[in-house]
Amino acid sequence: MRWERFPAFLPLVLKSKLTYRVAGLALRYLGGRMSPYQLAAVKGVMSELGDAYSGRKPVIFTSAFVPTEIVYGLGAVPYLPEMWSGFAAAFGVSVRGIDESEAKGYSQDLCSFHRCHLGLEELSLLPKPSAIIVSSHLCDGGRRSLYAHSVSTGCPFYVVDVPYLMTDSSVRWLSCQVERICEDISRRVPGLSLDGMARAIENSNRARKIYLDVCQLRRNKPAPWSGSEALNYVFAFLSGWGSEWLVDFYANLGKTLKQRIEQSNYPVPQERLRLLWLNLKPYYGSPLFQYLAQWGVSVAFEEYSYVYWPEMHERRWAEGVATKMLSNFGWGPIERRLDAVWNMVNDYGVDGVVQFDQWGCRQSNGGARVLADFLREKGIPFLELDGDGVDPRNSSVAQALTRLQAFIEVMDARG
Amino acid sequence: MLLSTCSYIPLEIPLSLGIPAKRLFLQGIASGAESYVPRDFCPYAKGVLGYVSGSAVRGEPISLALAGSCDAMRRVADLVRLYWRGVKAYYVDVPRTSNDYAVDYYASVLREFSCELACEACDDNSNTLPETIRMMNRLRRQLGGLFREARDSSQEKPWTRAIDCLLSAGEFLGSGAQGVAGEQVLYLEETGSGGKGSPGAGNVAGEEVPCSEEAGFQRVWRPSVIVTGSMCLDRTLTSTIEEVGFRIGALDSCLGERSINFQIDENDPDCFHALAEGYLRKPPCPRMLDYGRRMAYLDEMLRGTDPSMDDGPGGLIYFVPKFCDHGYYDYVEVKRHLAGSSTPMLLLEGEFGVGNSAQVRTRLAAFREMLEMRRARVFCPPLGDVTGRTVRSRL
Repeated sequence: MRWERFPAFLPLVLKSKLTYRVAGLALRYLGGRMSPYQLAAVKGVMSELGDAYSGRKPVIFTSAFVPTEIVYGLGAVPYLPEMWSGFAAAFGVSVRGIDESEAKGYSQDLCSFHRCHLGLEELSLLPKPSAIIVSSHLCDGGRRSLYAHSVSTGCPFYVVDVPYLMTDSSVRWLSCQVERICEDISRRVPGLSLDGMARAIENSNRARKIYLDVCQLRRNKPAPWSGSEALNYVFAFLSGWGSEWLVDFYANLGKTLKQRIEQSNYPVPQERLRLLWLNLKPYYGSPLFQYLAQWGVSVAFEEYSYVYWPEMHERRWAEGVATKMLSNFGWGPIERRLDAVWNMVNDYGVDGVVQFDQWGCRQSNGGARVLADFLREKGIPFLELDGDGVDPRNSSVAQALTRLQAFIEVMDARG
Repeated sequence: MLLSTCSYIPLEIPLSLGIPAKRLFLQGIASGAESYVPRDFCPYAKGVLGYVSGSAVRGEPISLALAGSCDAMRRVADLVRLYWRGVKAYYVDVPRTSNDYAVDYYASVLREFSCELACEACDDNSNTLPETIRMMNRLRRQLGGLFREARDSSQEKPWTRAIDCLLSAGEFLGSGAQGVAGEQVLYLEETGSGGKGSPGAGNVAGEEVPCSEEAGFQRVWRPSVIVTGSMCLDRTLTSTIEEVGFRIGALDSCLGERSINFQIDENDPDCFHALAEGYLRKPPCPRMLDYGRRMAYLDEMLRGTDPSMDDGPGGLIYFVPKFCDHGYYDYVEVKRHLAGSSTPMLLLEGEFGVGNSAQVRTRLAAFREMLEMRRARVFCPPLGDVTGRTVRSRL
């Protein structure tokens, strides 16, 4: 569905309780056409959207790498505006959002994911946050753009200042911050408390355990899950930890993948080559992945689907959350990212690595040279694919396809 | 020599160990950086890589203290460590907040940084650090005085010359000729570039600069502006701002007052805690997630420059180095913050040597004309009609 012209009634539709009732009924009747995992995700998201837009539950905006366990634990709904920029691109409203933010003075040189959600707020398409939590690690634009939301909505703004390295003192400082912030939010936002923290951590651990089995299934050749679809479900990976629905989603996904393997029903049945995909992808209906499939190339795994944190202790939840944040392989020295990429290359038996260079993403694109040299040394072809995840005007499809074709030839030449 | 890429890293620590140190300010991007970073990286990040690459080629022994000022600088730290193994790179984890917990954490980071440097230098700074803190406080006071004088000076390009003194003081600290303490300040006093006399009395080289008041410079009204942003890359911007005919009221940049408008508590028995507290709570840079303090500082500067009616309305020039995320976001916040006031804003973005660009000069001239028209409206209100057209016709 594409809305080239922004429909003025959309904010009203999003905020109406009726919308979510109708959506619930529609799911009951049309849900049979979806895979169980898709249904679990859609149900989970619809229910949370209903809570968020209708004001049934307090909404907490977070930047992409804040563990959502703390939000579920507090009893609020997590909302990651960056993620919703991706949805806006899929529905064709991202361009309007980007234009709105640029009219406010935001530079075109900033990441379009952030410009887009700043514009979506101008269009009244975001729910009203009760609080905003950002982390200082990775992505400068994420925290700065969320600060703009806090100014315009007048809600409290919390910064989790993440130390660079994982040491005893950094874990202590970070867990102390997490604890203080959560306590403060529970005092300031009515309806929130710390009572659900242990439960959220338990859900997160359960989902993690099941998800690791899913990852095991994804090692199968041919790949049982299309990388393009997996990148659509990055929203679940970023915002679902701590929820009940994520457990359900991964359990059903695991069952479906198992069935696909048993029935040899693969998204790219004639798989010749396997790729590891780094960073995000274009969310506005780009032909990149279809093109790859036509050439027998499947995306076996994605950087954003990699579990990098250990199981968390339910009682010492703040310490667990701190450890999770500090374990992020994108943070700290780049060797951590190299190790993670190398693990993924080996675990999923990939033939090449593609990094989607999202316009304005300094933290990911800045490591491309190191990654390229590292992988070249290991004999793994690497491609940097310039593009824009949410702004179709800033990507050249023909150029991207030509580069992909050349990359496939390079991988083929290796034999 | 130790080069610091961030003004939140205390130079007191290397200096107290006898290691010459200075903040790395660059004049441009040397070749050799482009192939390591994407095209949308800020000029300073590229400049640091170019400098390191050039030093390696020339065989100059340098060490670098890098802070995670932004995503780009974090990657620069990785690149220096991995590609220039001859360059000793220290990553100083500067927090983004400045509360008591952050201060404690930063104190522990500085303690480790000091230990690492002490190992390299085979020295101990437990006795010399308090003395160096006192010396640097004096130096900051001297330089602060210099910038304050520049604010009220009626002479030609006082801010550009104040920046030259700041750079020169940095060069002196980095030259290794300063000994342990006190002599830097003495140097400034001797050269007349701080404290003693006005900036017009002599530049750092001791040359007499002709006082432009005599040449009729002061006879022309000059609108006052605050220059702010994430970082003024080099002195060309202030130089052009002054050449175009502005009077700078405050220069909020690391290459300006942000590096000197603070003092370290000399009575704190824990020197590292004092340093952490002093540096984290200095005038905030947009990299800090301390927006309330940043806007309060901006308000203070605006009040300080007194854009009041007797001097005509003042303005604000915001400079962002190209591709600087902090600057781009901060600009919108500042714009929003000033929306209620009558302070006009001009956004400039660019690379090194931005002041030499004719486009920037034209935009500055247009901004000045706009401020002049506003002044004309304030001081000569048109009768009956207050539209711009009436004012223009009067002018």
